[in-house]
Amino acid sequence: MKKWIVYGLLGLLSLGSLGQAQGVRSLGMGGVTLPGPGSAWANPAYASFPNTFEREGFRVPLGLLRLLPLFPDTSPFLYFADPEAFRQGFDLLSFYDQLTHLDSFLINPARSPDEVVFRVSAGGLSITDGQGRSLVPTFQVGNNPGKPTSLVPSPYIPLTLDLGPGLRLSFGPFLGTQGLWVQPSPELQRALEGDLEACKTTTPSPCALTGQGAFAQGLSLALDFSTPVGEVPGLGKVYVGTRGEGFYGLGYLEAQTSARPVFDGDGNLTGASYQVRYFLSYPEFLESNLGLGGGGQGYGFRVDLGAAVEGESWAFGVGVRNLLGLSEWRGVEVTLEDGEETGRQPATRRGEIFAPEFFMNGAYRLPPEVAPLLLAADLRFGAVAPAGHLGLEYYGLEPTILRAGLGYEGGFRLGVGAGWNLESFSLDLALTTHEAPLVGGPVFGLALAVGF
Amino acid sequence: MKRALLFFGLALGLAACSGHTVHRVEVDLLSFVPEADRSGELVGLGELRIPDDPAGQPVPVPGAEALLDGRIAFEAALENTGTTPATLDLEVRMAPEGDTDLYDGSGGDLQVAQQSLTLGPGEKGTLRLNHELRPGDPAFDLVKGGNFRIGARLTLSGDQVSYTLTQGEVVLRLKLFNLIPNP
Repeated sequence: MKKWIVYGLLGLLSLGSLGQAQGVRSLGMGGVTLPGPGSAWANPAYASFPNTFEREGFRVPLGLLRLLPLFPDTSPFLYFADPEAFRQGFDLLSFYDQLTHLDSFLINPARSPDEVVFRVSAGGLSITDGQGRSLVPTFQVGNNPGKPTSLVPSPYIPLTLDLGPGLRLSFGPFLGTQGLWVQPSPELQRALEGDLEACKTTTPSPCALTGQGAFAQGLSLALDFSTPVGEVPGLGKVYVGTRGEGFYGLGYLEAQTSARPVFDGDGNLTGASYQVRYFLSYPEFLESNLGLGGGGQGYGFRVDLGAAVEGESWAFGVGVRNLLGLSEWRGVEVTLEDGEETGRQPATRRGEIFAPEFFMNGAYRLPPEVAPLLLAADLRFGAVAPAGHLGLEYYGLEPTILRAGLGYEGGFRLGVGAGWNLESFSLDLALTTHEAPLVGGPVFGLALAVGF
Repeated sequence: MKRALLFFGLALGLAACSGHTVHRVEVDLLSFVPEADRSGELVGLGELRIPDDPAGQPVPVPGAEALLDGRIAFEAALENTGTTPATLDLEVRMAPEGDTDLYDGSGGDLQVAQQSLTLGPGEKGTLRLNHELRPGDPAFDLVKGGNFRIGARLTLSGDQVSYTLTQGEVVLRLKLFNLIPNP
């Protein structure tokens, strides 16, 4: 039974990753998001925008191949088929890297070090790899998980109803992490590089390793409206859009763990202390089944706005997600100190009303007599880790198209790609790169899309 | 030290978890001996214990069931400053967590390694112990229990010897993926 639960969770996580996957054209252009209906999630004005710049076939989730037992480093299913081979070959870091990049087959997924060295002495501790390089655990995905947000994950396979020109209603279940974050304090980073004195400046010690995560599930209902509002002389055709999205929560877990060293009066390391705090919420009617004390309620609502302009050979858009938002979860908050429960009380967690996420993107097709080039860029900032991309597409060799780009998403990434547009068939390939989590270094991947 | 190891164990779990990753834990035992006690004079039938406590130094090893192998190393630089020949004996002893005296031959303590050296008057020398922990070794089984005590004793039979402790180290290699049970 347990294994089926694991399978199910992995499957759902995979779907979540797919839902957020970028197109192969985009990957080939360094991850840039092109103006068009495919980016309506970030700018509702694009829902009625013409599909001039976006054009792509079906993304083949090549990364799923690496979850097959054929690839022992990234397949957790090998555990059930051959536990010994799993113990010898599985790499949790490689698995995580592939799972979060299911749209591409990773050629060299991030690999855990062959050796991790813990040096323990009265003066401190250090963690290095076999070559003496310091291993400082740091990691972040998604939003800051310290607070709930009305920016819930996109629903899976939503039911969508067209209610009239530009007006759509969609409904579906959502499930996913709202953010995951592991960070050593700056003092701990210095200590892991050998300066233990940095940990002794105050009591409790400023050296701390903190991990936070938030997970939400529920049902989402969204109403989208987008429409062209006319031509602006000298500019182009203007589109505006808005989205109102509400959710009813079925479960929310937010947890924070921190560990910090403890010193005696002489400055000798004597141990470490741990603090764990978690908040759990689910509907009251589930309390009799779950019995964890988290029975309560969760709901939220948010408003997104966007505008986009289509010129003769260019397009540009600005979207604001969560311009106004409300999210509230009622449940129980539990705190633990060094493994002992020290507090348990009913609690309410509220997200910020104004925590907007801004998204700007644009594309420009140069006049053919100048160069057969398409340039594109995007930028995301606000209540999200800042990210930006620049990409270009060369179509002077049609039906072959060449692409390249550069992006920043916590680390730099490069993309190189090619496409073939034939009369009844199209194929897009991209060689992608991203920085390996935790251990650093470039990871290369292959992505594929086909269209008929 | 147990919590300190657990604290860094958390970091370890995040940094590296794979079937090919070997975790090497190096414990610098000498650093736990106060600086002033790392050198001095032994006189007559004197002895020096490292650490001074007969219960030794407790060493907790989270995940010790995954132990592959290890090494215990001690080293002392010696000089016979007396007028007669001196015989020095260095031994490393280990015991289960509950033993209160590593040197009384009861409670499960055992001699892991031993080395002797005789120095003439004015002569210098080095006593070096390097014991490999391998399956089948009783000391290996002690470490694999997860919590053990370790200590070393330098014994003089002679007139007067000056000593400087230069190394005291336990190195353990573990493969944590071996702890994963069958489905």
